[in-house]
Amino acid sequence: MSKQTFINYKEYRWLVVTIVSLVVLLAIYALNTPVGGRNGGTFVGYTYGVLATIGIAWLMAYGGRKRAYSSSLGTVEGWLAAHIWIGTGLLLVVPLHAGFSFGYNVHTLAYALMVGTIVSGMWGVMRYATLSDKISSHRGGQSEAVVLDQIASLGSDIESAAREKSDAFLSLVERFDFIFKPRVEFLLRRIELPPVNQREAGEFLSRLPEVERDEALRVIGFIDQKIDLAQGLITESRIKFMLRSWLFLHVPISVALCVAVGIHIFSVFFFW
Amino acid sequence: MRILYVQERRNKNGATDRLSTSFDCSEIIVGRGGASTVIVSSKKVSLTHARVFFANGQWMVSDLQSLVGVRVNNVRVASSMLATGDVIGIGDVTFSVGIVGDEITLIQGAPSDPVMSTEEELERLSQGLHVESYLPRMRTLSFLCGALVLMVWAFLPGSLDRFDSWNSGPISNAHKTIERDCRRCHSAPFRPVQDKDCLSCHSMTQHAKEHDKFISQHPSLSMRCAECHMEHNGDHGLVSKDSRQCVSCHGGIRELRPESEILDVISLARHPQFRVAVTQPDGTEMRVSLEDKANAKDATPLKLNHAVHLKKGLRGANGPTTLQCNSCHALASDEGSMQPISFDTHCRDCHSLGFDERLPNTQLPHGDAETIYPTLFAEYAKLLLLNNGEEQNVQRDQLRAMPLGTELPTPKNLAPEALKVQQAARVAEEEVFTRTGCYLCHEYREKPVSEQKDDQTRYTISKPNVPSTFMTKAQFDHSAHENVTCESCHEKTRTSTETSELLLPGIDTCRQCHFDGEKAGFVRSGCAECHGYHKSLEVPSGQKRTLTDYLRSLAR
Repeated sequence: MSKQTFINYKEYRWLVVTIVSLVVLLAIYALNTPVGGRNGGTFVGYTYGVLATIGIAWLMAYGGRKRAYSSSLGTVEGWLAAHIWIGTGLLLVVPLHAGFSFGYNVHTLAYALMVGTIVSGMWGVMRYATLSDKISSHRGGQSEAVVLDQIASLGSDIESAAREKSDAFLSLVERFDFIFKPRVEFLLRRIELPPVNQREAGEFLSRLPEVERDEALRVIGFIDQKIDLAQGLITESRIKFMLRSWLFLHVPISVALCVAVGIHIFSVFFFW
Repeated sequence: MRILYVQERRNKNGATDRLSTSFDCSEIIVGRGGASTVIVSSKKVSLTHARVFFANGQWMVSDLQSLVGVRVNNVRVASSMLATGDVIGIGDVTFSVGIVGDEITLIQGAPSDPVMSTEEELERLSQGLHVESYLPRMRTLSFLCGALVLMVWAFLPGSLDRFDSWNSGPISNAHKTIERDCRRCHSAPFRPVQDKDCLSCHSMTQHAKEHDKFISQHPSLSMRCAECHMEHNGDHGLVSKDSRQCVSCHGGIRELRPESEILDVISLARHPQFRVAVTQPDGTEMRVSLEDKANAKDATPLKLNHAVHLKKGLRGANGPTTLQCNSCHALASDEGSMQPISFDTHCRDCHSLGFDERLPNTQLPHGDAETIYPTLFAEYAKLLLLNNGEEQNVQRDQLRAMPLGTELPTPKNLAPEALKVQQAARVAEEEVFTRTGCYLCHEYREKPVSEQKDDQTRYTISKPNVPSTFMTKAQFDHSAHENVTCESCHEKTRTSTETSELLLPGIDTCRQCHFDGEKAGFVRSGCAECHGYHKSLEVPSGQKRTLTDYLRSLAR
């Protein structure tokens, strides 16, 4: 039995609700041939417009429900499942409302923004479905702060070890050690930190005074650990970015959508 | 000699602290190792990196074979004299130089970042791993997006009074010229388009007047123009041909208008039999169903025998001829209706209005009975003059044409020649009205004696008033049906002998090919296929505007 997620919540309850609703709406749409053609101004058109508006309001309400921790109005997972499937269904309900009539106007803008919102939401769903399990695996179950602290500690250890050492030792540290500074680049593209090159490290070691070699090997070990930890954080931050970045489209576009729907409703009744 | 070493540090509040150390000597070593005078904690600084010393009255700096070298004012040097304002770079640390006499001050620059606690540093690093650090707050972004939409699609159209972007659908081609003038039709906000908005342009048409009259008689219907003429649907809705619009009233017209003589119609399948307009003998028009055999008769006072006209080998003007339907019934220029039958065009070739063999090229005019006698008088007078007063000839032929026992009227006060001519004309007049010429097709009436005058025609002809169409409430497009023979629909024409027989097809004939909706093998036929709604759309010429006035009214 597969694990329940927000997609297959209660055996795809909301997918079924969406599909059944769409079939009914499509059947009514197909059977209804209003005078003057199908458009948003017919009885069926108005009805579908009202349904779509209610649907959008419901989808927006999810933002409130997920923050209402004390609410007992269904589970957040259930709300999310409805949010996803009903939202997907609106892709068809709105064209049915408009009789598949589009143009360069605020009405089509509202639909375009809705498509943008839903598509960005789908993007997010796919990201969550494929990436969410990978987050903690990159840091062995440790929190981000702990890993950063470990990196800082290793840096201090390396610095301590290098103190009072020869310049050759310093050269080795300079060559292989690094300061872990998060950059936007970590989020935007896959970055693989190279491990300490053993052959090159050997060459550096050969130039060290005999007494500093053991310490240098220990420092190289520190640097390797630091690389592993940093790599984990970099990979994780990129995954987190992919899991969060779509929201920076999804939420603002959805707000713009609400404004556009408001203008759409206002304008059609203003120029009734 | 003295060396003052000043170390600047920035605390967590961003303020700069200074820590000064004075050395009463002429030389210091700057490096990372414990052997150095000034210890700098930097991995880019060698154990013993540089030496600052006083020699020959000058302060100098020299590189102690460090890994990354020494720079003075960004130029790498092995050794260099120092002056006030110089900046010494040792690894990633800088020192500003100030020299007063034999004293030198070295100020180590504060790092750009404030000194932070480990927790703060970790927090800062942690933030750098999250997308939120690189983007505006989501709430801000959302507000900006919403505000942008509001600004561009609400405030901008409102402030510019240009609402193109609010257009809910394509404007019909007929209204393209006023497409941008929304208020021309939408005169009041939040109210459906009112009739007065439509009538501001269309009040002059007969259609509008008829509608206005209808609505004024039935205010309870509250039927607005825009309920039938739906705009913003391209060309689909403005003049819809959807039968449901017609049936919405005509399906129960008797309920709406009990006094109406129009019958309820809900579909072609349940359309009542055609009612045709027949003119009664008194000249009034009556609409009669084709099912009403007793009254569905053409009362036109003409004698027309289709059976005779369609016989083969008729005697024509140029020999034997066989007439076809279109010999007389020709399509009009609109290719839908029929041209009116004209005696001169369609009949005269065979039905000559000649009246005397001696005048083979002379025919009587057609169309006005009052011209017959004057024409005859003139022609016989001409004949008498041309025959140089040979009255016998005139008299003989007149007598030959006269039925036996006819008493000629005795005019008074006429010269003998005029009397002869008049008598001949009267004889011929009676001949064409009562036995030949006019008589063949028309019904005649002799004027009462009190109305008869010497110089006028003594007979009248019943005006035929042939209707241009019997189906006055519908249009039939003959050209659309040209692939079937006329007799397919106009049955019994070939055997029809009486004018009164209406040779019109009934609705069942139409139903052989036409059907209300979609049906394989049938032509989809709504009400508008045959009926126009209140056809009178013409604007009286007195109410038309000039193009300039019209364009001015568009305010563009």
